[in-house]
Amino acid sequence: MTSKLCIAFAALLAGPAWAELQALDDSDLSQVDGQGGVYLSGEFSINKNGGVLWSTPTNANPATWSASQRGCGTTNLEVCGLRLAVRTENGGGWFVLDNIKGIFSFEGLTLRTRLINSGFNGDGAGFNQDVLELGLPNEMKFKNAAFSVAVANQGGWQNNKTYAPSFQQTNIFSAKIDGTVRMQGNVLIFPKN
Amino acid sequence: MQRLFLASLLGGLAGLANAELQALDDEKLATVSGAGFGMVIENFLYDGTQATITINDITNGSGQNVPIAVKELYVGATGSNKGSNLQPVNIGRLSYPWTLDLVKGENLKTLRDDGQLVQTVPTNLSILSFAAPDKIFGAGGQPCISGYAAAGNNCSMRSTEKVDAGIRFDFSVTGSRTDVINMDFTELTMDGSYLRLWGDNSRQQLVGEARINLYAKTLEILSCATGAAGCNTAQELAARTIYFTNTYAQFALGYGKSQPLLFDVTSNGQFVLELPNPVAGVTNATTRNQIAADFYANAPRTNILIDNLNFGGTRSSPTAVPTGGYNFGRNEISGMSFNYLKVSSHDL
Repeated sequence: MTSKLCIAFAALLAGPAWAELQALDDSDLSQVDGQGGVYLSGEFSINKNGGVLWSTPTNANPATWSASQRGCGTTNLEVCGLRLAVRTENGGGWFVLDNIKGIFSFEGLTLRTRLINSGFNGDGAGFNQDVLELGLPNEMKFKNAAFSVAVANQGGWQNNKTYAPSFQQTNIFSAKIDGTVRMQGNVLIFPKN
Repeated sequence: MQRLFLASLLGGLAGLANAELQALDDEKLATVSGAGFGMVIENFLYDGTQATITINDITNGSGQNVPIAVKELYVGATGSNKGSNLQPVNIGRLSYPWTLDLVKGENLKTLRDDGQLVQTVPTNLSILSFAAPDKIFGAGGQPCISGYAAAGNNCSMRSTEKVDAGIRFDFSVTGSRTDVINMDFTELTMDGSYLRLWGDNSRQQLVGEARINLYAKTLEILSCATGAAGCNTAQELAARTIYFTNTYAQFALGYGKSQPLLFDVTSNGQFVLELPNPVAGVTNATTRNQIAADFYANAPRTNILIDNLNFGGTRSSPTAVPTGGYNFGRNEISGMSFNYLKVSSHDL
């Protein structure tokens, strides 16, 4: 199943390189039929083996790291994950979502459209319109999934022990998830006037 | 509608590939109206009891990490008996969904406590709004807390769309000692909550306003891990439980016109949450009075109410007021308005 997903993914990635996309005109669009739907299963891993920005140090003391080394986690010897920083004020500091990494797998994520004209404790009949339905996988497995929430005075990370003494980052908290989460339901998305 | 929706989705995708993105100019932005997305989750159930979730980086006085294990995390239909009988539930209604909108300020109205629609955000600005199901004033209003009229009859979620939710935190204070906080809500709903964000030109930063409404029939806080020593029998459990019955909290943060909520990180990397003084920097006395009068008339207030607070004791039914233990009666904070608030973080 993973390989199928990979192929589909590769096809998607390769698409833009082959040819330019053509906008569908109205007559073509009127033939689009939303009855098909997609069933997705997959497993993906983010930054599990490190990223391109930093290599993993061999000892826990930041003062001895080279400029390209960075360790995360409680022992400082773990690989660092993805970093996302947002600045909400001109000249201000940054909100950071740091060290995002882990392995995620799921079975049975579905995507389709559906007409709702009944049910929902009496609301469906009056609603009577199409919705985009995202069916949540019944189970989602996490392995060493992690992220940290932090604030910092610059977007990019730097080692403040030896290379950038002015760099300041405060981790507010970090979370780690392992194991299986049961998550079922259909997310219904529709235009609202 | 389906085709239109698909068309816009496909059109959007094709657009991305064809050409560079163009910034919207003021004229185009002015045509943005209040149409957005509605979202409902049908038959939702979340059960995280099989996963190991740990929160780190919260340290004690000597700088050591205090890991917090998150356990017994669940969301399901009411009547779950503290998560032991989880059934799916609909989150939101088709006619009153959760919404994500990009709206002009003058089109974004807020229901004041007395049921009147008022504008709380600045005019002629595009505002990103994420909102829980609306409240209803008039016909069709549902009790926010069943059997407790004082919480209002203006919610949109019916009893079948309210949820049971729970979470347990285990704080590993030292190697051998673990402190537990176990919370279980029944008939929880968030009608009328919202988060609105926009850019403030003069401050050159992201600002917003938020309202967080929580209504629950009961909330129980247990201070031990069920099944552990001293936390087994009904009496032991009762002695270590705090019971809230018929409780709600309405947190109002910010009033867009004169006191927006400022989310900020300072240039030296510290977090700041601020509600500025509404009349700060205004020197003209008449204008000051106008701003102040508008603020007192229309700014949403914070209310917290616990109709019954009981330490210890037992409930005769899942939603009854407990008997026995220590009854602290009704506790209420109402009509609280922040004139000024500033919270900053500092490194220890």
